[in-house]
Amino acid sequence: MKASENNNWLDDILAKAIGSERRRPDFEKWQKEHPEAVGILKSQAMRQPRPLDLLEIGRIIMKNPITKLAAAAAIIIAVVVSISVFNKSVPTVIPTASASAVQVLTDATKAIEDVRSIHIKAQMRTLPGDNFSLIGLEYDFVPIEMWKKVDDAGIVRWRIEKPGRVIVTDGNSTIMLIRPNYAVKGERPYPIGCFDAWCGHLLNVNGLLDSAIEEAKNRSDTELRLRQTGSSSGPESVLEIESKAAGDYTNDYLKNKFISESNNKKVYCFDAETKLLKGFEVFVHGDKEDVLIFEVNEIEYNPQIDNGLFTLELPKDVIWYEEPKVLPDNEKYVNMTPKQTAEAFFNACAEENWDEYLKFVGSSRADERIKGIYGGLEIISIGEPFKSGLYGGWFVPYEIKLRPREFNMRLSNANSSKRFVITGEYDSKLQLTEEIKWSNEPEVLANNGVYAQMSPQDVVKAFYAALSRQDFDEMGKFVPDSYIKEMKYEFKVAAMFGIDAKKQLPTVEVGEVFWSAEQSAYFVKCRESRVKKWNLAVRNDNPAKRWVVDGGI
Amino acid sequence: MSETTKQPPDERLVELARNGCLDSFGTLYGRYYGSMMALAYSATGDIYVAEDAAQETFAIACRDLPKLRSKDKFAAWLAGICRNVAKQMNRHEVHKNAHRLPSSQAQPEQNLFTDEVRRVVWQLRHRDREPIVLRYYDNLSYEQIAAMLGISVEAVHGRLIRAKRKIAKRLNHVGVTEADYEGV
Repeated sequence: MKASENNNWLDDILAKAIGSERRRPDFEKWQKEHPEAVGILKSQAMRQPRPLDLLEIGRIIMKNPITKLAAAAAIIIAVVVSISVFNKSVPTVIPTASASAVQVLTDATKAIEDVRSIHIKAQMRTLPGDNFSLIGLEYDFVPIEMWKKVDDAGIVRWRIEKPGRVIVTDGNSTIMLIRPNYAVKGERPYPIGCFDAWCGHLLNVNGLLDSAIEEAKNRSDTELRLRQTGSSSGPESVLEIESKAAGDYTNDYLKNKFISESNNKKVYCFDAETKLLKGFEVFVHGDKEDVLIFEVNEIEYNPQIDNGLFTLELPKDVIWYEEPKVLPDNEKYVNMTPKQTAEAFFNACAEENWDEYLKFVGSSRADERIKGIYGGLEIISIGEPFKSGLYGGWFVPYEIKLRPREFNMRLSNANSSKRFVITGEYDSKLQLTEEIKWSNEPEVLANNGVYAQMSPQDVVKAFYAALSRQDFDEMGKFVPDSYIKEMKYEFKVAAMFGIDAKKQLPTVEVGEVFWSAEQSAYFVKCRESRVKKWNLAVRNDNPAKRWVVDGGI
Repeated sequence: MSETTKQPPDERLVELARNGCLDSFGTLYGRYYGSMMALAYSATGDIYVAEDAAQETFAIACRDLPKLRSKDKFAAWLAGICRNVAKQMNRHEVHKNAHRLPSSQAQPEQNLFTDEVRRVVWQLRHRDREPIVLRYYDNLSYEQIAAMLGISVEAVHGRLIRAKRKIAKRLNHVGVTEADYEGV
């Protein structure tokens, strides 16, 4: 109480008169009395908008003028994984040796020996369709679910899934599907953690903990803290391990893009009685604050799991990624430098020589989306390669000019504000490429008259002018809030990848307007030109020893 | 052994709850139950009605969480819901006589005394009463009250001082002084 009030007796009687009526919170009781509210809350996860996934990335790349930037950034790592999957090492968990901590880890290892199946629900700040290991301090949380089962014959089956990716081992082979239609297959059951799905190590608790114990002996630049605590579910042992970012950061391009490449704190929570792992969190030490990056929400031991869960139905148009094979002219590609690899790759795209393109990407066929975006490109510059973090390859800076793209914007003023707003995007053949839905009618603006007088062309021009200024308020007069929200997120993601979105926005020329009786709408012809500046990831640590493009396109 | 446990901030809990995490909502519930009780109690003057209002507040918040625009304004947003709920309940309840509620563990003499204090508190204007109840029901800090009421810490301080002067004066009018209190 502040001294200036100087009336302690009043404080006392008020505390007695009012504070004596205090009631204790009883959340369990509240839940019982409000099952409907609880149900609504639990269903929120289903209703949350998904910020990005590979399907959306594809859609965005083909259509959305702004979001291509972030999508391109995301695809980088999607490809990185698909090729470098086969022998990426386990993430670094390196505690300082501590007798009590080691005991906790040892106890947990023993406790897990009798577990025949496990199901984990977690969430991670990542992109839904991108690399399982990719993190971003400002990404939204994405759900991750994992299952593992060991049958009586000792066959291990497991599955790790997030919205845009899933890896499955059925005991015979391992398949990763990058939705909608990219896939990688290993003709044997790969160990958990392959395809860079580091979180899968949680399924292999004893291996994870053994690794922690072993590494405790070898590294001194980590801190380990153990505390005994309690929660509503009983006493717990909480083990915190502080780890430094591993790798070379002469160039910090990959810093904080992966857990092992970040200064982080891992928090393991063990049930003090059963000794089983019951919680796990990873915090990354950002510039301003610690950011929770990964969190286990639920662990279920020995659940019944049907074997059907460990099989995958692949789409008919699946594009397979495979490890590079030795080519008849393999030597030519072996002897390239990283910079020459980038030049040769972009030249193949520029010439639309897709057979040559395939020698660099290790996929079974060239994706139509890639062809549409990169075919006919023009190389502006190729920079000096650099390395970063733990990545085994090189990053090659590049600047390219993409072939202009023609498309049509659909507009309508059939709304109460009587002003034109954008309702969809169509390709040059007037095929719908993106429906822009208005869940509410465009509002009547304070200066509605000004906007009501604008022609469809004026509106498209004004929209792109606002976009170039990143004036989201102004853009919101032409597109719905949901679209603005998505764009803001895309800008944020682009910024995280070091992309100056403002500088890389496309130039859009606005052409003629026409009425489509069939569509009952106005259309405005547009022509977009874009320059892309980014880093191509290339590596040669494959059986054919030749340089391949691992990401960054 | 370290026992330090860092409490997650509201924004984080809100984000998790929005993703369907009931435990996170439970933490928010535990964190703000007392404050909501205080607000509702201040508005209704009836601790039982306040209990209903607080419970209903969390039910509405649970349903409307996706509508919350600024996750860091959860406390003020929740307080707004609570005030509305309490207002609605006030229309249906006639219990305004907080003094009628005896504290179960107090002695009869003390009941009379504390009842008188409550009567005086509930005679204050709502604007003055609200910070008083938040402060003495849930022992909130000035900063917490400020966040709850959407005003500055200085304003909280000023309102509490003014309200307490009025309480002291009114108690004095009915013959309750510091000397009387010492005898209780």
